Amino acid sequence: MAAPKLPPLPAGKGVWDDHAISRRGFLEAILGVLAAIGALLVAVPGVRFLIGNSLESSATKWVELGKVADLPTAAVTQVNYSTRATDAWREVTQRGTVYVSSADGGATFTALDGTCTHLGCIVQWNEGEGNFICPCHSGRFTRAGEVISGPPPHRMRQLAVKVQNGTLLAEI
Amino acid sequence: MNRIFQWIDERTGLSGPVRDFLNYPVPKYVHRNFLYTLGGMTLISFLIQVVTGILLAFYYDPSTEGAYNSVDYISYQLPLGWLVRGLHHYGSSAMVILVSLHMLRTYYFSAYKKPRELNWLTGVLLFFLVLSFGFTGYLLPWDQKGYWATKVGTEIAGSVPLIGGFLLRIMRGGANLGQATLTRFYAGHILLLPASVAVLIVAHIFQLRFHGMAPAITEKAKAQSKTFVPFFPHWAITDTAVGLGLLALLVFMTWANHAPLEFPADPTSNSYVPRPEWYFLFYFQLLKYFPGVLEPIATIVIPLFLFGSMVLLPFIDTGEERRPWHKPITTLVSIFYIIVIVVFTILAMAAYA
Amino acid sequence: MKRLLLVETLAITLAFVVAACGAPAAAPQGGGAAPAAKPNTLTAVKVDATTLDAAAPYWAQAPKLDVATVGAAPGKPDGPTVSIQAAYDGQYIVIRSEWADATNSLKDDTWTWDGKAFTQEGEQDFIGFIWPIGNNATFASKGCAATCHNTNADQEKWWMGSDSADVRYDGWFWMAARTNSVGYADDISWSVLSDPNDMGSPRVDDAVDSGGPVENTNGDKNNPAPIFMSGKDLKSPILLDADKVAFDAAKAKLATGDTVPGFVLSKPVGSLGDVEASGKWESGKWVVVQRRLLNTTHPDDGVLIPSKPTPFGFAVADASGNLDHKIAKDVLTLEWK
Repeated sequence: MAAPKLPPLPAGKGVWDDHAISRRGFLEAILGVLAAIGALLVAVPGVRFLIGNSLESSATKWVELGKVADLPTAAVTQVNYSTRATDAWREVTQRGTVYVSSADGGATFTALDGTCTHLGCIVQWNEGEGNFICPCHSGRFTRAGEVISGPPPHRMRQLAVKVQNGTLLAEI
Repeated sequence: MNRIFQWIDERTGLSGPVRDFLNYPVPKYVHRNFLYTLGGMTLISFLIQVVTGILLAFYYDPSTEGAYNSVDYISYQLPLGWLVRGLHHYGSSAMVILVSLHMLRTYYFSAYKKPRELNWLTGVLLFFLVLSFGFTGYLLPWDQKGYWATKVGTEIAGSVPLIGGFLLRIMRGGANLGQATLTRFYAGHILLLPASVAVLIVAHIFQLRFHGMAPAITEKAKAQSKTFVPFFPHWAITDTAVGLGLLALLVFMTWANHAPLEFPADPTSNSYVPRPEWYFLFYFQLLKYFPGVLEPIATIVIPLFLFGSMVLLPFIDTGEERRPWHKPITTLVSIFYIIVIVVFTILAMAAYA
Repeated sequence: MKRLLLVETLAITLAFVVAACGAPAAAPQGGGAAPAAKPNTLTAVKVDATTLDAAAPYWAQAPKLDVATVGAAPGKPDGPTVSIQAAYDGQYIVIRSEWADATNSLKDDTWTWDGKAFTQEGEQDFIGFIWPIGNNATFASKGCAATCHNTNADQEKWWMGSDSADVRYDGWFWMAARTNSVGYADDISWSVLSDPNDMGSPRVDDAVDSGGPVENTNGDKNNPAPIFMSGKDLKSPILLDADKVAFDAAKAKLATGDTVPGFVLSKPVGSLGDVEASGKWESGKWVVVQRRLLNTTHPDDGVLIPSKPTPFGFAVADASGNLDHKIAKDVLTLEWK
């Protein structure tokens, strides 16, 4: 790649250094290499830094939903849980909505994540219809969380549950 | 490749100005002298600060509740966080050193004389903005060091007669150090100061290009003042190489010794000994020698004198002579200041070892 | 103008000379205010693999921190000087503590037979470490004093904990009888006073799945007695769960002054047992080594991060319990090499 000729300097100012000019192409190549190294040295760690921990999968944890004795056995109950969590560099109270129901009169429980699988709104239990309805785009789910109609692509997420010392816990 | 450039040029008209910028003639005596890289290195250190600063801003939390924990998170839990923060920490010291050396080089070469007086003033302003960067950035981790250094620093501002109380409250955003202080120091540090410095740097380089390099001083240099090399690639390579060298040095310093983070700020602590960042230590020490009624000498007279003499320099020293060995007064005065600063810095370090 | 510059510079020089006469006065003040070089700092050294061995070769390279202790309660005498060292590998930290103690005190609510009835008595030796969970400005600045709530004139109403539910501390509570015998230290935590009538309520044991000490008592207020005894060694002050048999007065054949341990011991499974420990008393000296994962991932534990300086504190007791434990007066800092 021949470099375009340098314009002559104004009269009286001086001359271009011939020896330096003769090496111009070579020096441009070196500059390119150095600049590329510099750019990589900045870009690669920079991008890694910006990604940070965003791609880490968060560990699951068990949250308390309430005393088994207090939970209605026939109806679908909305439980708003709160738990201590670490949010980046902060300790916060993490909240969420879970729907709890029992098909066998309180022997076992089902916990469904209240987040609609379409775009993330919180669904509402409609007692009259006997199913969940999402207020955003009217997606509908059965009591067990299966999709009836509307845009949701799959069923409501079912959480693992366990009972410990009379308290129902769900794994979020 | 050429066709792409042509396409762009047809639509932007940039090829002319870009070519002029790249072909700028650099005198050979400049090309052969390492001292002339200091200005470029100062600019590169500023760019390092901007890049690392932007990266840090993705994670820094400017609230008194979250600031320390977010810096802790960056330092210990974020991949390469220690590196980015370390570069920013050591880069700030590098920038202070480089801007001072660049200023000294300009001073000794009398490059502030006519017609370059305004360029010198732009530089003086940039110098103080760099120190302001250091002062505002220091508080941001909200650790013991930053908190107490800022407490003392704003008290010093508050001790100025007449306007001191007003100054202190404006700086702190209130009577005490708190959330308002942190947010305004942060806004200054990442918005106001970078914008101001960027504009002044453009003005500074524009004036440099307009006037050209100041006349050579030595006979050898004068002999080389009629031969030129183009800025690109000859000078650009030098700039890039020293820039990479600077970056390598900062990476090494960070790797050898991570940027320190002291314990979180405790406003009730009665045993913590406040000290400022190293480049203000000499002034911190100096204050000890002017107690009580003498204090205004240290808080007003000396800073005003220093600032005033820097600003007025091109209008005081108007002679034709540029060679430092023929200018005893300016040379001795500068050596005096350097010795004072060095001695007081050493005294301060010994006192707080 | 140049002359003005010169005159001003000379004037400033003169001012400095005048002020410099005050310099010798200023310097000692500066010296007095200077903190000593890195006191109260425990430096942990990196080793290939940590163990519970108090005589491991790497201890020779670990710098010793000698901490003088003082009585926590007013009027109590000073305690022993405790020598601490620390080492870490990729996963674990190990801390070695050594201090003078004339007696190997293993009584822990031990049953003593006086010929007619049982009484429970006795305090054991212990050493407890405290670590803040998360970044804690007050503890980093003031140490244990930040956790000490002794504003009441009545010492019975003093408690140890934090000022808010968000601020928690992690504790490693090594007890000569109750935990050392099964090779661990209790992993506990402190938070805020949750029950105003219970001064011990800020202190909570970490979660446990199974195991741990069980009180050896029939719970009877009128005739308290142990329900287990050792099937192996009736004289031992330690009763392991594996060795327990039902208490049988006929088989035990207790004479006046004989004892039965107050606890049935086993190593806990779960967060309570996070800290492994090995302590040995010999010739008037305790040497205790404790080892824990740097990051247990349990929410009730503090995380130790190599390269991050961490404040901590500790207390020792010579068979005296809460009434007269000896504490490190200043906050200590764990640093990493």
